[in-house]
Amino acid sequence: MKTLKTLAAGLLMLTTTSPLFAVPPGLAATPGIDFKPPRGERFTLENGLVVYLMKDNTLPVIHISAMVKLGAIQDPPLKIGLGNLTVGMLKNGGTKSYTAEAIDEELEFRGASISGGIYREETRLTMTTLKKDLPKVLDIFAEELRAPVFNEEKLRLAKDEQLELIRRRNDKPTGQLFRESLRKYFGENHPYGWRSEAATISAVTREDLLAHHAAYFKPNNTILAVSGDFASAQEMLALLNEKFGSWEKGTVPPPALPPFEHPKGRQVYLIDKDLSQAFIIILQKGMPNNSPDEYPMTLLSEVLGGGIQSRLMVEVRSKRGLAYTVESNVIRYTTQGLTYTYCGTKPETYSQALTEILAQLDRAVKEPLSDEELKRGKSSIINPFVFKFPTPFQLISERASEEFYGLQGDYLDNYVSRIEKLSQDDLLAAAKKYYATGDAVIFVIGNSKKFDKPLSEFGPVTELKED
Amino acid sequence: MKSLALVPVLLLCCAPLYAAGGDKTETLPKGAVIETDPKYPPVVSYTLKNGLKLLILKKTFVPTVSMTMTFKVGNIDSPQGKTGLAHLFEHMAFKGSKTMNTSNYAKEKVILDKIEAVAKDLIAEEALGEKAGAARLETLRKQLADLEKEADKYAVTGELNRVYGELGEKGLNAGTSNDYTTYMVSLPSNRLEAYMAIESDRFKNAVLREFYRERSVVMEERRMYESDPSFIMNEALFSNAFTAHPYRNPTTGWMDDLKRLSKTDAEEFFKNFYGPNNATLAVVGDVDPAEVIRLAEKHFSGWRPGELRPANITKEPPQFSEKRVNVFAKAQPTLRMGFHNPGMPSPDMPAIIMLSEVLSSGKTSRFYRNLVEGSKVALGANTSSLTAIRYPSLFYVSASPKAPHTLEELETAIWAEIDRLKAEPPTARELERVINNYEADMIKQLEGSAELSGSLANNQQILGDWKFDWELMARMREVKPEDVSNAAKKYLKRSNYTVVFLRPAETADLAAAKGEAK
Repeated sequence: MKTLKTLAAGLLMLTTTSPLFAVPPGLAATPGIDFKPPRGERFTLENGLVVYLMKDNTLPVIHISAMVKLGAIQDPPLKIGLGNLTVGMLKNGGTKSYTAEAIDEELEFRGASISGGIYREETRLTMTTLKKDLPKVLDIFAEELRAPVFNEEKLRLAKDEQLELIRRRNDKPTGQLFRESLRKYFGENHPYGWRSEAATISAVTREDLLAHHAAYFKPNNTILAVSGDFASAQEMLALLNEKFGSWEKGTVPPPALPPFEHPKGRQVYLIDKDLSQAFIIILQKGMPNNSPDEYPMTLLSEVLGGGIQSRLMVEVRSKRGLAYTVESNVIRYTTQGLTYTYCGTKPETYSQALTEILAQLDRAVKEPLSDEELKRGKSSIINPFVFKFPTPFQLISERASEEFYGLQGDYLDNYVSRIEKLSQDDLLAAAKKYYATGDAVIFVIGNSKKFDKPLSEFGPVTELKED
Repeated sequence: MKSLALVPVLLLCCAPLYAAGGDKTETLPKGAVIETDPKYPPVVSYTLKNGLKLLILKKTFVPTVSMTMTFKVGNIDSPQGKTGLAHLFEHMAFKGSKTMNTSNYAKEKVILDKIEAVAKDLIAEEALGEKAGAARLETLRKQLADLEKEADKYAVTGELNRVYGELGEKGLNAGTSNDYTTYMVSLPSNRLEAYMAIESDRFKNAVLREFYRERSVVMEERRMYESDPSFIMNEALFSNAFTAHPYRNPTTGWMDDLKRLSKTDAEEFFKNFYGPNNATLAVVGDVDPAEVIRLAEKHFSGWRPGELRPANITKEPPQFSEKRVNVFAKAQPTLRMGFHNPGMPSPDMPAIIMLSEVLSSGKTSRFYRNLVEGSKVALGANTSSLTAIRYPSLFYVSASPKAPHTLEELETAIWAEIDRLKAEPPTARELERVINNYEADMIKQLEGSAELSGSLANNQQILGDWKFDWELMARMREVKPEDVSNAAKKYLKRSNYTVVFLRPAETADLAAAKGEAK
């Protein structure tokens, strides 16, 4: 199965009833979409644990996510990878009452699951269980969050696995491209850019995991999103109180990020590698969460590279046959953001694709969208809004995310109206601010011997050796 | 936990997720049947006179609807020397019709016909290889490029996608496998008729414009895959394990075949396989089944049945020799194994599925406990009981060694686990765990409308019954521990074995000098 997007966007997009709709040839107009996302119920336990609930009795299944304010950017610089190991070992390292083997046996025999991971600014652990197994699975889930023991032998296994993944990290060029380009954009010493190394993984000890867990896994640093087949909010809250009520609250150190300035002036990087395609990414300035610029840039990015009908897809793919994937997107974090444009194309024609992509970015800076493009762009963001919430669990998770990331101004509920309000001038101003190609960082992985033009025609080239 | 079979699973409903009740049957038109056995979801089935099968399930939460249209045509149906045609056609199905993606089809058609004449000359000249005339090639390529520019005057590139975009689509896409081709999209539910109008026009009046540029896009897609070691490994496994059956060919097609595909080939293929009598449309979401049937009759009943030539597919002869292959690439070591399985209808298949699950499903599986944790020889090791569903395919193993362990140690360790299972049947608890997981997966699968519409359409169109997964579950419950050991003995044996090793490129010369790779 093909998918057009290779990297998900930052956070959410959103909201509701829209008068905008298109009509296929020969059909009467379709009505607008009458949908307002339910708010769900929100509670706070005495220890500060916030709980979002949505009852849904259609299937005998229950989902619970715990979102903990702990990101990979909070790793100690000499132990990059500590957060990832800590979160993985919540499940794989056993807890006070359950060995790792017992957890696997209890969950897998019931067809239940607990899985999770750490992202740049978030840790999320999610359990799914049939209703009949809720007490047992929730008990394990709560222990993993509250009382992991990080078995020494299992930690050795997890560290060895990380070391093997480091050895294999350049096997797939797309992953390599995104990782290495972010490293150059933010800098190897900035948490948004760094990667773990054999040395930073080897340095991690069981004591580090215990300390990292003790510092961040607190009820007042966690939000639960719960949906599924329970009788009432009261019943679920009583159960959650039983499992989490005695979890002690405490102060949590905030993330400390070094200052960051977006790069100035064109920079070009190359990893010379004999592959069937050249993989190209262009990184440019972006905005953090809660910036009003999110809306015009989301819309611009949609028009530029949001799907088959976008300018880049039409020009680079459909009209020239130069690429299978070409796309642009916006990534937002709490304090920073960036925009990227990505393309895979054969090395013999890479310069044609890159030239066209840069020309399209320049065009967005110089020339306003036509009325029709503006209208279409708005429709294709607003009309699929309802798909943000395809299931009760996804809906309640979005509501929890909204609070978790501190998204302001009724973010979900006002999203559509903020998109609807945008004018050509708003978009042109945003394009000037973010799409200036003079400051673009261009990163290419490909076989330079086959390039149709030297890469230096696009700016001063720094060649890198993969490691 | 990975999902059980490769066959998408669905299942078991329980509570009133589905709003369709008994009263609905009265409003359904003649010929429509609603499933009333509480073991199954209340799917409404209906077949149009032209053979198009409809499956409808009302499911409410948000006002959306998910559609999947599956055709029983895949890469194995591509003619000899034209691998990749099924996939290229799937791309072409986004290029519009006589009214979509064009501003004036009558004028456009004149140019499209000229393009085809020049392209055929060009393909013939290119096929001469070194004997091709350089000047003639250049002339033909220029003519083609000029004509394509001329056709641009009438093409409205990307219109079908744009209209769907404005309607609020989610997941507009298509997929091609060896066995089938499937087209999917989700929309706000009050745009159902727009879907019916667009899709019926798309398959009744397809125009394969921008064909040669899209062929270039598909070549780029293939180059993208070639940059991924997993793709290289799978291509090597299937092209070696199968000697005669077309499962040996990659779905994207061989590059040499892609270069010779013409629009005429694609039109012929379309005529043969893209009829309503070769398709199932599944609609899942906040819709009224009677209304879905009414709209389908309105928009799809004028679609003429296709010719449906009988498949002319070579049966794979039995394998007698072990096959060992070394692939050299710039990547870390990994391996793939394949054993021919007997195919879905075989009474052995449920035991083979159980065998695969016992070996590698989850952290309680034998591979994880013994290869990843115990001997630590593997970074990971997984199995699948089948790789395709229309014909006998492969029992598939993928695994990577963890340094300092070698591919040879990993291969030996995997065989030791297989041999142990031949000697000692799995425990009753191991089998019970597989069944429990299958049941839970089937319930969870009902949560997503898009996935569910895909399962319904594929199971009906390819396996002949949307209830296929329930039947399979019943067969799996009958499997006894010794059946699993017997299946391992019968199929996981050296004479039925192909193994592909990926070795770092720098070892290639050394290996050649020694006559063997280490």
